Amino acid sequence: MELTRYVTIGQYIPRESPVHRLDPRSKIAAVTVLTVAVFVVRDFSGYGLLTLFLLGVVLASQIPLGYLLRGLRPVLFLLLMTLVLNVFFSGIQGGTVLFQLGPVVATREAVLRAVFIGYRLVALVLVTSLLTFTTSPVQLTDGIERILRPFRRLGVPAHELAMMMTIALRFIPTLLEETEKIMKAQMARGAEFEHGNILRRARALVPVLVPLFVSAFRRADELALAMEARCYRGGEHRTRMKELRLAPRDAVALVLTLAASFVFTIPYTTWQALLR
Amino acid sequence: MPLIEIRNLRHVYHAGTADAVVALDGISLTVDRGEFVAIVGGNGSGKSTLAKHLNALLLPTEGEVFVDGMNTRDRGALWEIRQRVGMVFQNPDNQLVATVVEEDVAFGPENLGLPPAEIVARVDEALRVVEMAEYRQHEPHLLSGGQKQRVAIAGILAMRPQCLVLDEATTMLDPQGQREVMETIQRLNRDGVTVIHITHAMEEAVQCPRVIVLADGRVALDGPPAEVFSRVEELERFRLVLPPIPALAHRLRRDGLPIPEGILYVEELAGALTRLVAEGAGRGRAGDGTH
Amino acid sequence: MALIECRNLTHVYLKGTPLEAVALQDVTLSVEAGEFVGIIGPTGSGKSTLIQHFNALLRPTGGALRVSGIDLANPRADVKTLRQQVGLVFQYPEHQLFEETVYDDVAYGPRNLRLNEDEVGERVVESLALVGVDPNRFGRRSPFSLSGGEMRRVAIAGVLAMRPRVLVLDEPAAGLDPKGKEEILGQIRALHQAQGLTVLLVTHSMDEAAQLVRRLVVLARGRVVMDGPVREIFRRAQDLAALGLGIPAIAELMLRLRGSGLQVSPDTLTVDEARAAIREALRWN
Repeated sequence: MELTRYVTIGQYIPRESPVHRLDPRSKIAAVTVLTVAVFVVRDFSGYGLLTLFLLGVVLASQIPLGYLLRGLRPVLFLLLMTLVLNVFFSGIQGGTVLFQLGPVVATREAVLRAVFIGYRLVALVLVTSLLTFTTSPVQLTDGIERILRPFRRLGVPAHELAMMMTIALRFIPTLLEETEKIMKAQMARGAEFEHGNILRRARALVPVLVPLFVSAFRRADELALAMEARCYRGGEHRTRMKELRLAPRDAVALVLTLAASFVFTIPYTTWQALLR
Repeated sequence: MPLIEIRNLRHVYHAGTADAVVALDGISLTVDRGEFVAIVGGNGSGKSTLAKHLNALLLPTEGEVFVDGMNTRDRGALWEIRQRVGMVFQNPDNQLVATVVEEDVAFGPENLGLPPAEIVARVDEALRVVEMAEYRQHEPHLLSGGQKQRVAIAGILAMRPQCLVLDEATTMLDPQGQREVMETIQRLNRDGVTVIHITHAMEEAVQCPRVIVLADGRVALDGPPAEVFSRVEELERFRLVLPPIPALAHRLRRDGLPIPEGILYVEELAGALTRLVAEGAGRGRAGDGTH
Repeated sequence: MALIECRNLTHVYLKGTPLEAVALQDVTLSVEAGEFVGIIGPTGSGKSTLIQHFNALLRPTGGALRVSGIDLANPRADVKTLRQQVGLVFQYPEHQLFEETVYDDVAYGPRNLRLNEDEVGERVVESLALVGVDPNRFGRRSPFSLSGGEMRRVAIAGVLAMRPRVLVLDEPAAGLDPKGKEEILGQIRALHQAQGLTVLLVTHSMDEAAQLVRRLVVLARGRVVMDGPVREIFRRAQDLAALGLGIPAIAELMLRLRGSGLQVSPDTLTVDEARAAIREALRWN
């Protein structure tokens, strides 16, 4: 049980870096811009510059590169699958054949495409992890709430969404701890979670899931009562202790990101023409 | 005008159905400003139902509850009543909303629509009062039970209430956490906050100047602890067990030992017994003489 | 050979990471069959980590541990047999109830042991009776319709239905009202006395320990700091206070009375014993 005490919420790593100090809204905007750029870039020069830019941001954020790369582990399988599928089942007709194994053909074009797609995946994970590593969950939800606020008139429940996210984040560690405890309690009564086929394993989870749901509902009930007792009545009348405020550095960061993204997307051939 | 006035309060769950349960059956009592009241009772005595009437989380089936002169049935006064009577609940995990301590303490004042500067000032003060200022940036789930409850108390204090209701807020805590919470609310009471402490820990009730015993949805006993805890037979009937020292004092009195009524603490009983030895020395020696 | 035997048992969480935390350090302890042992210590002293080793929910990261003859330092130890022999009741065990009826919930353990339905039924009836729940009245009811105290007793019955030799309970009376506490602790005492179960009771309450156990193990910061007969441990009031633990009110009273010259026995823990001791010292008969 003590183990889950070390689970930190999200992946936030507190540092006093310029990236940490940015307003969450500008970071969300920058991530959006970079995501678009990642998909628009089409050649090596663009990817090279993008990589340099990202490395610069990582350096400024004071987040060890190792942490960021570890974030890639969960997508490693996906990455490999993407590479293999794109190399051998690209559907590209013709092109320079690099090697052939029976009916399976790998062409130069297919390999290039696979590398680009793989690189996009890596870049996307890096960009979003940079956001979650440098932005506390509180800031992130505040940022999302503020960005959505203008859309309230269109019926977007900005405050409710943000409140749901906050509560989810708050209760993830509690429920993890609870899951571990219930699993152990059932194991003490002879439950086995690691043996048997999928069907048996799924059935073995019933004694864990039922108590977990019962407890989650009880918690939700009690939390709702506690919130009501603290005068909660939705987003109306509500103020915030920390109102988000854009600073000049946010403008600088956004302009930099936009300019850089523009530069990445210029194809190499255009560079050649320009430099000539 | 008393801070809280309850008149003939009845509460029936599922009223009018086959499952109707009478939880409160004709309760009348008043609590004045600055009081420190313990409400004790076994499971099913109606303690928690009563607590939820004090800030309009529940409304009476019959009878009236007034907070600072406002009827809890008055929808227009709802938020004012809830601001005045704050409530701390049993499970420390299920009442903290935010992922950071200071954000949680700010939750109440934010709901009141206060300006940011005012909220910051109140959060600072509330965390200082419960001695949790150094934890303001911590994640609540990493705190001990006693610390979580103190954060919950700070969250209420930041709304500047007149009355703090603790609904079994110490039940799930270890002895250290129980001590922390008791010390905190005693300090608050000295600073003028009215405290209503609902508990089934008799050792805690003993420390409160007024004890109300609930049984079967009615007020069974109401008075200072020395008086309430001398009614041993009645307490047993109400699923309550005397703490060891009052229980021992009661037995010794029943044996005929001339010690005063209403003994609650170790020091009192030790004092009474040593005095007895000093005074009754003659009797002891007379006994010796027969050898 | 002792039923439970720890030698220099050490447990380190997340070993080799920056979050490494030593939960138990060189715990040496043995429990004989038929004992009733209290384990007490402040929060974070390692109590809960220790008891989870006794039925292999956690494995030692150092030292030796044998429970019921099974060597738990061996990664291929027969965990299944062990979990049947050592019943572990967690805090707030009612939170593990999940079946539609009380009967089926208690039957969960025996069914996991692949017993036939006749024997399962026998065990369910027997273990419900042991915790004072009438199988005929409650068997067909939903566990979620019971009162808090009843739910807890049903949950304990679910562990007893494994017919363990050792029962380990983590704060079995937590959160109950005074009468409910008395009832559950009384039943645990009866299980020890009438069924001859070896019982290990984790508690925060010195008064509970004083009423129930004969031997007390005091943990602090992952180490065993005291281990001995309850009455001897309570004489060390100052050492206990230094650990943030009190002594039972009656023991404190007796120490005070002795301090002011009254010749009462220091081995007095319960209200009845204290009454007798005071009457004797005052020659009041």
